[in-house]
Amino acid sequence: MLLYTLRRILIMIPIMVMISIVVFALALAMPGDALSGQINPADSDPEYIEEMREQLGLNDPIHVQYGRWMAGVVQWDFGRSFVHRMDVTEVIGERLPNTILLSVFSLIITYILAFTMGRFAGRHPYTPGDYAIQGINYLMLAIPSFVAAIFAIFFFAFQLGWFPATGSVGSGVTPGTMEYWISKLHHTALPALVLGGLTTASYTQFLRNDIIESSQKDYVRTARAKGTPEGEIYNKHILRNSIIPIVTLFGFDIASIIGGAVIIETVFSYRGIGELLISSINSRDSSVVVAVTLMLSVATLVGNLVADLVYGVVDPRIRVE
Amino acid sequence: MSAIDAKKAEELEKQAKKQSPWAIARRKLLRNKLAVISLAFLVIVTLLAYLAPFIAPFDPARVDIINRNSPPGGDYLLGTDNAGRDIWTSLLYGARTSLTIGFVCMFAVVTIATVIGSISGFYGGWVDAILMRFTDFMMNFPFLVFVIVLASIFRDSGIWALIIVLSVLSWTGAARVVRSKMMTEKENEYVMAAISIGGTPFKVIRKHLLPNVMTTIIVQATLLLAVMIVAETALSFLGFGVPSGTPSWGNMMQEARQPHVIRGMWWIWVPPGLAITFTILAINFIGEGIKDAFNPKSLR
Repeated sequence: MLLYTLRRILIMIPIMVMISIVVFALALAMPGDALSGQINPADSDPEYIEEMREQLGLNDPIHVQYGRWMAGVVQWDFGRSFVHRMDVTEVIGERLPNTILLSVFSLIITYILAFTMGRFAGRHPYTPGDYAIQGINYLMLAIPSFVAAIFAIFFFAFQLGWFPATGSVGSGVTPGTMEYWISKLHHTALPALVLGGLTTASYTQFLRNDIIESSQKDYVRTARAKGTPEGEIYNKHILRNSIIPIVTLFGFDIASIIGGAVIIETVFSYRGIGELLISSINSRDSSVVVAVTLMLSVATLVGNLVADLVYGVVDPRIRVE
Repeated sequence: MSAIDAKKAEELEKQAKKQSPWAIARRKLLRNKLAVISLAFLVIVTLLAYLAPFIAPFDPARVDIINRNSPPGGDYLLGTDNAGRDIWTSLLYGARTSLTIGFVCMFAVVTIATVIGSISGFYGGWVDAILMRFTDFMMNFPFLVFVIVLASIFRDSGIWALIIVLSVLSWTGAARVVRSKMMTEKENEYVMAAISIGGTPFKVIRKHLLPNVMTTIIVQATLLLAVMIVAETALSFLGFGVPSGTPSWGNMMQEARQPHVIRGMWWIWVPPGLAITFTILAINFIGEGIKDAFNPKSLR
């Protein structure tokens, strides 16, 4: 397992280098100064831009620029944000906790919903309840996240008034107090519900089919023959086996959560990384765009790695290959 | 077995022999009610979209300054938006934009995926290794983030740039599926026979292998159509897709980024929202139906 883990991590290094090159190429194509963020994106005077470019070394050969940029990145230096007037890492550091809170919250919701629905549908297949769950699943797969978010804001925030419509924390609360955290959770609940709710479909379907398949297996028949209560068979014998493959889906979820968070955060004006990406593109704050793109790419890569490693733990055959 | 059963079995066998796999699949698909209803829905939406210039009551660019944000009823069947444009007209023209981009991207992606998947699966060896490493590499990018960043760089280049960006970033999954299907298919004896009588690789792939991989490609294509429509509408909604002057379902939803529109003007965002959702739902049902119809094990 150790060898397998090491090998998987080593394979990641060249991929990371190539991804950094792609992001670097994108940075060169972006408006303004995407590498250090020192040029005012609003100033279009060609003389000013040329002077600044010369001063910042943006007229150097490309490989020199790449080397300088990478040297900064590995030291956690992404340059400065022109719009926010501070270091890019600081801007991201301010937003990151919000996105992590949203992701964790939405994952918890996904698991709770998927377990409840998948277990019910798997235990009572081809009943009206199962068909209802399947219907919900089809709808959740079909409805785009931004459409779902707008409908959710309309019903839960405006019609019912249960949640605030936008923002990530209420105004006038002091950070660190109990009130602050409650306000934060209250603001995160609705976006997390939308983000988490929409990813349930594949989990539910997976769990349902796995439970149905497992319930035909020999060990279940043995358990029945011994007189084990039906509830215990489903909750202990079958569910424990069906959870294993679900775990591996977690790694792949990181990628889908990243994409979903960009949209959901923007709709809810939730101050996270995704909203930062969109607002930075709109304000031509390229250094922030580059940093966020690189970070989200690395996060996706790590997600895939985690998925592979967990899969190796769960299924020993993978390791041998 | 009784005589009647034997006769019945013989008849069934005859019937099966008469029909090509495509005919069987078509019959199975037509028996699937959900898929037929979805197909009818999609055909109607497509017809409405492409006949928009004849059906739409107004010009899509016409603004009525006096009747801005007016609720449904009166002159305007579904009301008007912030700029005073007729929602029903925008919905029809928007369908045309969204569906066109969806279909064009789908064809582009399927073509790229088929070419890469076929070459990779047919040749194997180092060709396969290089192409698949490249595919894996492309798969590592967070799709939406890169689409947004690329689309923002090519923001002023119009719809074609958007189509290219979407297509270039989304062929990986389908290419892998085509490759694995190709690899199992080429082990068959008829392929060896075709090669041994001197068929060139191109001819073997096109005439012998592709028809047998076609069912997989069609299923992938329906899934991709849904994905592409969602991607386009999401991008337009965020402001990185279709230029804001062109009506598209995503652009129509863009007004709902302001809370007061969500709160008080449901007629602006409900129609495009429902249109997108039901179209995707219909495409998914059709995809499921096709998958089921081509599956010889399913009895439906």
